[in-house]
Amino acid sequence: MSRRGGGLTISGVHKSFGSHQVLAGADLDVPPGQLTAILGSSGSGKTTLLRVVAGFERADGGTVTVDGEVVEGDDRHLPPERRHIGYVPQEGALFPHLDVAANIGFGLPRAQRRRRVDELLDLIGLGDLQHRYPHELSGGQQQRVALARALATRPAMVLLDEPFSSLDAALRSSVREDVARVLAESGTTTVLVTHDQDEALSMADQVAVLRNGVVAQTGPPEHVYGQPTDPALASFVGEANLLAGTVRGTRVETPLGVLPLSEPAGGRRVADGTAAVVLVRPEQLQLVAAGRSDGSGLPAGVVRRSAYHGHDTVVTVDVDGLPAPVSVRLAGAVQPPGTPVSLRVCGAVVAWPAGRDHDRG
Amino acid sequence: MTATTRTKSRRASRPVADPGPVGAVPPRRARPWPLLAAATAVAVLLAAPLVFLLVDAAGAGVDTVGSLIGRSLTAQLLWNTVRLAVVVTVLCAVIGTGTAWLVERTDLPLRRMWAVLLVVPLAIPDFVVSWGWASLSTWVSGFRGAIVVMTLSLYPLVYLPVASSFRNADPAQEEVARSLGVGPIRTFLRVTVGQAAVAIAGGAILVTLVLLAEYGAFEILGYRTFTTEIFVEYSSSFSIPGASALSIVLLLLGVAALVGEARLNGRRRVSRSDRMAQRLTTRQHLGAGVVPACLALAAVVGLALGVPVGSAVHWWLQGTRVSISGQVGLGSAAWHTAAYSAVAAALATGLALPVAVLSVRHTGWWQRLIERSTYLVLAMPGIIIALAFSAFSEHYLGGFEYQQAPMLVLAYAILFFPLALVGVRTSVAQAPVGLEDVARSLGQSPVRVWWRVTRPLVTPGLAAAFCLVFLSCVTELTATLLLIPTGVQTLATQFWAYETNLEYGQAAPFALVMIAIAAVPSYVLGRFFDRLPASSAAGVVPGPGARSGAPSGVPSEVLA
Repeated sequence: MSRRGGGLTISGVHKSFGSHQVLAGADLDVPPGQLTAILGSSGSGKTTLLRVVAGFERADGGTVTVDGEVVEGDDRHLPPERRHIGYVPQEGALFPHLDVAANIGFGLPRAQRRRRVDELLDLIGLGDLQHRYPHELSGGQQQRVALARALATRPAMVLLDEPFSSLDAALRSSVREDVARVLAESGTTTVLVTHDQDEALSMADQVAVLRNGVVAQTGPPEHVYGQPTDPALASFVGEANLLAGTVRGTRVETPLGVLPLSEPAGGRRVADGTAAVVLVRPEQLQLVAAGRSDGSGLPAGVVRRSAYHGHDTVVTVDVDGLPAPVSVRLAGAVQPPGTPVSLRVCGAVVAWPAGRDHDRG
Repeated sequence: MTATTRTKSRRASRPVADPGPVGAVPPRRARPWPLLAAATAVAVLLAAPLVFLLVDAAGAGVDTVGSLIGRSLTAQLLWNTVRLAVVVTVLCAVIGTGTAWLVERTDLPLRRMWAVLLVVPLAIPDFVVSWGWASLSTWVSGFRGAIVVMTLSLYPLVYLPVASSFRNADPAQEEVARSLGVGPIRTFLRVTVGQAAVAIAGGAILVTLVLLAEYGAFEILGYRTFTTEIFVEYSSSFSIPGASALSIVLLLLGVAALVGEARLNGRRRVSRSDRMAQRLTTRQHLGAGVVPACLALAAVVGLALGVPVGSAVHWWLQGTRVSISGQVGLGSAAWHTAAYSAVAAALATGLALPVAVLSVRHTGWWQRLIERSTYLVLAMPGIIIALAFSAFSEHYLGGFEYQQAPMLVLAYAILFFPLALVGVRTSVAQAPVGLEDVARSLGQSPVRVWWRVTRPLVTPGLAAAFCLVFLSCVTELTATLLLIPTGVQTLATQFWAYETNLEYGQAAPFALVMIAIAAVPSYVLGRFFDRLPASSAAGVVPGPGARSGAPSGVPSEVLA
């Protein structure tokens, strides 16, 4: 039963609680051995999806297949204990009456316990804490023990339900790295549920954005961030400047200039000569320290405010001819408000047909 | 149509917790039919005495009962009962809150000792306190005596929840008040007391309900309330219509008190911003105030604990000079007391289990209805339950089960069901569904999950619930007097028999044994519940979403 890196296929999963529909036909393919992040705001159904996969909830419709075996679907509901799917809930949920070693060894047959627990203690680097009880551990330690407990039985895959949200910011990134390392070393297929874009983009091999109970987009992080399928998704996955434009062949006319179009994500090309919504990420914009009248032809604007983050600065610029300001991410220092600047757009941009569906900007 | 910026900075992560931590109620699961059926059966059983009472009253004729309610006696009893309830409840609230503040929020010396001594009076039955005072001085009688005795007996019911609330209150709120320029005294009144308001109200309602139900203490003091009068009507004049008429009014008083408290509570919200990071509250420096503070506490403890115990010891020494072990009937009475109480405690705990599981783990209107209906028992004093049972057995069983052990045990179990529910709820909350989910995902079957996870987690709480009901049964007098099997005595009834014959020397050993039986385990129990908040705050379970408050807030405050 030492199966590693099983794949997961979710197709058309529906789930309602009373009259409230939480999952409305969710589809997702999780490749074996990889980390897939399900990104969604609260109420998007991501925890419910995870619980259906784990077997804690029954799906109203659709199927869940693990390693080619249907575990949920039509008339079949494999109980959680027979799915070989590890589960790490938000707060870790360590058994409070058991110490660290007993928690990790919980799912193991007695004979294997000693050796396997030692291996996992080494893996998570908490060997000296094996006789502590959960309330004597820090939040990050609890998370690592919870992960070790889930990995102990060598499950086909591990599900992580917002595992880092209860940790404070400083701890979160270090625990995140630890967890990513442990998961990579064990080669276990992993599904991570999170509402944190940064977490999803930085940890995952594949990101699936869940919205209103359906998977709105799936792909590698750079793909989801760089070529989101619609403007709302673009704003959800990161900071987005959405501009009105008109498509001209492989380029698009916008108030920030005529910009090259990248290949559309959904394959839906905007027809030539029609109105479009154009995505320009803040880091695609550069400030050119020039006045309005230098004749370079670049769009001009005035700095409204700067937010300094240490590693970068987000400058909000009022651009001539634009109804709302744009955000610009700079590696450099703060620009004082009122500074006249010119803007340059780097790289290709994404455009969607302007229409009522997307016309939210 | 430009620049939608939903995220302020892509790099700044937002740890906004989703609802649904371990302890939280899961998003509605499939309807648990067997559990619902069991809980409904319990609710019906609990409502049975009420139904019997109403059937009984109806049997006597609506007009008869109506005219009995309308007589002037009712008005007089109402006045006696209500004025006493108001005065004692206010006094208990003041003493309970004040002592709790001194112990939990100041740098009082010997705090642990005071914390124990202030609670111990709860273990002394009210009728023993009453006897202790009344047998020493005739000054303690009537309205005045009732105020003294009941205040000294019942203030711990306010002290306990308020002390716990002070312990768990968010110190940041007081600090914020001070930083907003509010002085220490006004901060105490506006913030500290405000934080404890739910606990104070919860304690106060218990004081009121116990007062309404009290029989023995008032009988000794010669103070007439509904309960004493019902007792007289039933056992002396055998007037069932008269007794049921008064019972209905008494029941309505209890319900009114419960509803009033629930309304008051409904408007209050107590919140802590972050339960995980519980800080130690900084204590108020007493300074020169330490002497009057200690004197005040010593006075409370001396009057509430010293006088009754001293009085019992005094009468024991004065009286027969028989050693406790040589006391005739003491062994048999102690045995019967323990046997009835143990069976009743097991029964009450068992009955509370389905209701507790349903209320902690499931949501829905039917579940809420069941849970609330069980709180109706709080408004049913022992006398009403005993009366309903004896009437039922006379009407339907030909008097067969009346004054038989099963009847008494069932009455105990119903009477103290709310206490059991508090303990069982706490214990069920110790084992959140999230833990069982994880255990199953680790390949354990539901039966093994129950044995390895649920059972070890709930056992201490179930044991606590059992002890709690056991102790209450040991010191119960009113229902016991009416339902005790013929020819049998418990500690309470034997004490009562001697006391009624003014054989104080004979009565004293029974009082002392009752106190001893009740005091030690209640101290242990106190420590058990004391540790709960700390462990749940430090550990992973139950998470911030764990629900612990009962709908009316009443029973959860009994020990919290």
